[in-house]
Amino acid sequence: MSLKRQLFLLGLLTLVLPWLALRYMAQVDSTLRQMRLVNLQELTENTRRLLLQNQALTQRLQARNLSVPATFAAPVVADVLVDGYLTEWPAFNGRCVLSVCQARRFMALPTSIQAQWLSAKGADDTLYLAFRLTGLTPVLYQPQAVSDAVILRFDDEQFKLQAARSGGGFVQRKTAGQGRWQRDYASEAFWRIDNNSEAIAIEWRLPARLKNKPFSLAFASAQLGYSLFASVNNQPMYWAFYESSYADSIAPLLGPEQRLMVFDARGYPLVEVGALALGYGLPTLGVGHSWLMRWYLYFFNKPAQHYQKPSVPLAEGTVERQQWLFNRIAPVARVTVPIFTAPTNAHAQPMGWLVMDRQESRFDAMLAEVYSEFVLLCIAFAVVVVLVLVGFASLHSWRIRRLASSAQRTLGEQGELSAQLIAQNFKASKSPDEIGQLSRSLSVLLMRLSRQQAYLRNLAGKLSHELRTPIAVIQSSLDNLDAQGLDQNQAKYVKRAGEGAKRLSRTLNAMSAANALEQSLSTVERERFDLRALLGDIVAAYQGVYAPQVIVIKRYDEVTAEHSEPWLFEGAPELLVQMFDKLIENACQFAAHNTPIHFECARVFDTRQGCECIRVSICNVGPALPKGMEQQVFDSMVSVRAPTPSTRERERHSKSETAKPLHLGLGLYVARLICAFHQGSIRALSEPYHDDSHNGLPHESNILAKVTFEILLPITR
Amino acid sequence: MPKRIAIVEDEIAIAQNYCDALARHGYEVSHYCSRPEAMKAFAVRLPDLAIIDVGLGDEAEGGFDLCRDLRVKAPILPIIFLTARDTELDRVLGLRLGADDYLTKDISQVHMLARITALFRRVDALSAPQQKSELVACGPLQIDTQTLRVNWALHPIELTITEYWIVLALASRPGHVKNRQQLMDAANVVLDDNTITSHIKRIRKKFKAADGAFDAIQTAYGMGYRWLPSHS
Repeated sequence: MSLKRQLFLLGLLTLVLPWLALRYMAQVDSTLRQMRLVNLQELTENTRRLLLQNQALTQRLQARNLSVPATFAAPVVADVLVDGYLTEWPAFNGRCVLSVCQARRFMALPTSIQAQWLSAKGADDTLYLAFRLTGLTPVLYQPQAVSDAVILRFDDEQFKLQAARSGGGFVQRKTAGQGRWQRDYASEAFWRIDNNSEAIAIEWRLPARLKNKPFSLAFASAQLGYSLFASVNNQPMYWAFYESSYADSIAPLLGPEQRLMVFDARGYPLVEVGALALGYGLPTLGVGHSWLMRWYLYFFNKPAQHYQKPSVPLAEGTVERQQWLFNRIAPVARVTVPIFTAPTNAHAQPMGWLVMDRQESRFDAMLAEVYSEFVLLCIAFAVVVVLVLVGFASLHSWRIRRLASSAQRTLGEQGELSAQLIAQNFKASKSPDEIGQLSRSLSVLLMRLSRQQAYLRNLAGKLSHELRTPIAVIQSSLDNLDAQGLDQNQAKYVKRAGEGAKRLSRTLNAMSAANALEQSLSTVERERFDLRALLGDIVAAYQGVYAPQVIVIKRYDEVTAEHSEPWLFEGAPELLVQMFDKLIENACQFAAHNTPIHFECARVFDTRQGCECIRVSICNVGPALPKGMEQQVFDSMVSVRAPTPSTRERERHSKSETAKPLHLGLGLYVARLICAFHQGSIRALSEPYHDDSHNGLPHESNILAKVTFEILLPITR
Repeated sequence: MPKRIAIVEDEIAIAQNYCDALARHGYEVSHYCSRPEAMKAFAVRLPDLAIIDVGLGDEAEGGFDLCRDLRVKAPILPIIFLTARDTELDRVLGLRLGADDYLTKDISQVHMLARITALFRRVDALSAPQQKSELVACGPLQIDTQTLRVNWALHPIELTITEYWIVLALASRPGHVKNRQQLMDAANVVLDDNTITSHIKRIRKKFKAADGAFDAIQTAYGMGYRWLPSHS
C-alpha cells in the first residue's frame, strides 16, 4: 500500500472529530434539556400557586370531584353526522366499556360479546352518544314483541331508542309527569346493523339542555334477556367536559408555545389553555441545518416518545412528572404537578392535576444553528486535515519516488555504478529532514559502492600486475634449474612446477584482459567495414580452428532482397572479432558431442530501436543456463554453466595443464563490453532441447538445452 | 665476440635469473638496478641490446624515460621492454618510444631468448652488406630494400625496422594473406598477436597521414592481413 493511501486512511481517523462533536453536543443538549425541565417545573409550580388563588376554579374542581361517577364527553372537532357509521369517532377503540348488570344478577357477560360506548360534546353543547356492540343478535322492534332498546335515564325523564329495521331508529321520551312514552323529536338517533360484522352501531344526538343532568345508560338486549349498563349498577353518571369559561383567567399566565391543561381528580380535563407550534407552526430551519438536526436528533438525542396529548382519564399511577416528547424536530417538555388545596402529606389525594407542555422551537432552532456550525466546522477541519495529510504524503511520496528513480538511473544496464553516472543522475537533497538525510546517505552509499565496484574492476588488473613479478621469479628460476641438467625425477617435478606457474600466468592474463580491454575502449578508433564479409571470414577461420566441431553458418537479409549487398557497419572490427572469438570459444567448450554450432547472422529492421540492425545468433546444444542467470552470465568473473560429460572428458584428457581451458567467467563479460561499445545488446537464451535423432551420448540428453547467444548491433548511418 | 646485453631491472632475483640464463647462452650480461645507474654505464659504453623494466625503483615510469633517452643516443639499438605492466596503453607507449619489443614478465626464458635472437638476427641482417639493390614497387608504393626507405605516391613514409619488414612482407606478395606468424618470421621478430595488430595499426596510420584514402592493407579476419592487389 502506498504511503499516500496509508496516510489517507490514517487521515480518515479525523472523521471521528465530527462524531465527537455530536457526542459533545448530545451532552450539552441533555444538560440544557434538564435545565429546561427544571425551569418548566418551577413555572408549573408557580402557575399552580396562582391557580389556587382562583376560587371559582378550585370550587368547580371540587364540585366535579364530587360528581361521581362521571363520563368524559370529549369535544368534537366537527359536527357529528348521526348515520350509524361512527366515522366521526376516531377514538372509538374501546376505552369505555359497558358493564353488565342484569335481571339475573351477577351473571358475567359472555366473552363473545363486546359492548362499547363513548360520549362527546359539540361546540354548541349538543351531546352525542355512540355505541358499538358485537356478538349480539339484534332484535328489532315489533309491536307486541320484546325487542332491543337503548335506555337513557335522567332523574325526571328518560329516553328509549329502538329500531324497527336494520338502518334507522326512533327515540321515545317519557317524563315523570307524562308517564307514557312519546316520540321525541328533539333528539336524533340512528341504529345501524352491519350484517357482515354482525355489529350494532348506534349514534345518538341529545339536546344541550341535558348537559348538566346526571344520567344512566343501559342497553336492553332481547336476546340476552338482560341489560348492559354503562355505569356500575347503573348508577347515574355526570357529564364531564372542557369548561372554557375558566380559560380566560388562566391564559395570561402562559407564554408562547405553552399549553396548560387542568385535570380534575378523576383525570378528566377541565380546561385547556394555550397551544404548541405543532407541524407547520414550527419556525423554519435553514436547509443546511434542518437535515443535520434531523439526523442528529434521530441518532443521538431523540426523545423516546412521540408527542401526544395526555390520555383521558389521566391515570395517576402512570403519570410521569417530567418528560420529553418528540414532536417533529422540536422536542416538547412536559411537567405534571398535582393540585393540593393545602399542604398535605405525600399520601393525600390531589384535587386535580396541572399538565404543562412547553415547546421552545426558536431556542431549538438557534441551538440547531450553533450545533450545525460546530459540526460543519469539525467536518471541514477533518476534510482539511485529510487533504493536508494526503498532500503531505503526496509530496513525500513524490520525493521518495524521485529518490528511488535517481538511484535506479545511476545503475547501468548491468547494475554497474560509476562516479560519472552518479554525478549525472543523483543529486543529494539538501533538505534537513529525514528524507533529505536518506538521500544524502544514499548518495554516500552509492559513491562508496561505485568506488568498491571500481576497486573490484581494477582488482584483477592490480592483482595480475602484482603477481606477475613473483611468477616471473618462479618461472625464470625453474627455467634456470631445468637448464642445470636435472635427473629424471627432478626434471619431472620441475616440469610440473613450470606448468603450474604457466597456468597461473594464463589465469592472470585472462583476469587482466577484460580490464585492459575496458581501458583501451576509450582509445579505439572506429572504421567503416563490411560486416557481412567479416562474419564470413571469421566463421571460415573458426571452422578450421575448431575442427572437427561443425560450425554451420547462415546469412540472410531481411532488409533487402539483394543478398550479396555488403553490410556496411561502423565499429572496431578487431573488437568484434574478439567478441565472436569469445562467443564461439564458449559455444565450442559447452557443445555436446556430435552437435553442430549454428552461427546465424542477418540484417534486420528492429522496430524497438527503429533502425537496421545486424543480428547474430550463436547457438549450441549443451548444458542449460541456470534459470534467472541469463543476464548474470555477462557479469565479470561469473561462470555458471557446468560442462557436459563430454566436454569434461575432453578437458580431462588435455595433454597438459596449460592446455586446459580456463573458466574464469570473463569471456562473456568481454563480449558484453564490446557489444556495449557498439551500442548493441547481447542476451542469452536457454530453451529445452528435444532431438530424438541425437544419439551420441544418450545420458546427456536429459540435461541438454539449446543455448543461444544473440547479439543485436545497430547500424549507425 | 659475445653480444652484450644490459638488463635494467630493480627486482634482483628476476634480474639474476635472466642474467644467468643469458650468460648460459653465451651473452655478456650487465645488470643495472636503476635508470641513473644504467644511463651512467650507457654513457661509457652502449650494449648491443637493452632489456628494460618500466617501473624502476621509485620511478614508476623510469623505464620509458630510459628508453627515450637511449633511443636518442642510439637510434638503432634494439630495446626490449620486460615488465609486469601489460595494459594496452603501456604497450603502445613503449612501442611508440621506439622499443622493438614489449614483453611481459610471465614470458618463459625460451620465448624471451627466441625474441632476443630474432632481434639480433634482424640487426645482423641490416648491418650485413646487401647482395644487390632491389626496388620493390607495388602501385603507389615504392620500397628501396637498399636504403630501407618506403614511399607512398612519392611521399616518404617513416617506418621502424619492424614495420618496414611487415610492409615488405605484405607488399612483396600482393593479394596473399600473411598470417601473424608469417609476418613475425618476415620481420625476424617474435611478437604476440596484440603487438602485430598494434604494428599494423601504426603502419596504416603512417600511410594515411600521407594519403587519407589509403586502404591497401586489408584484414583477413581470423587469418591475417593482405596487401590489396588493386593497389599493385
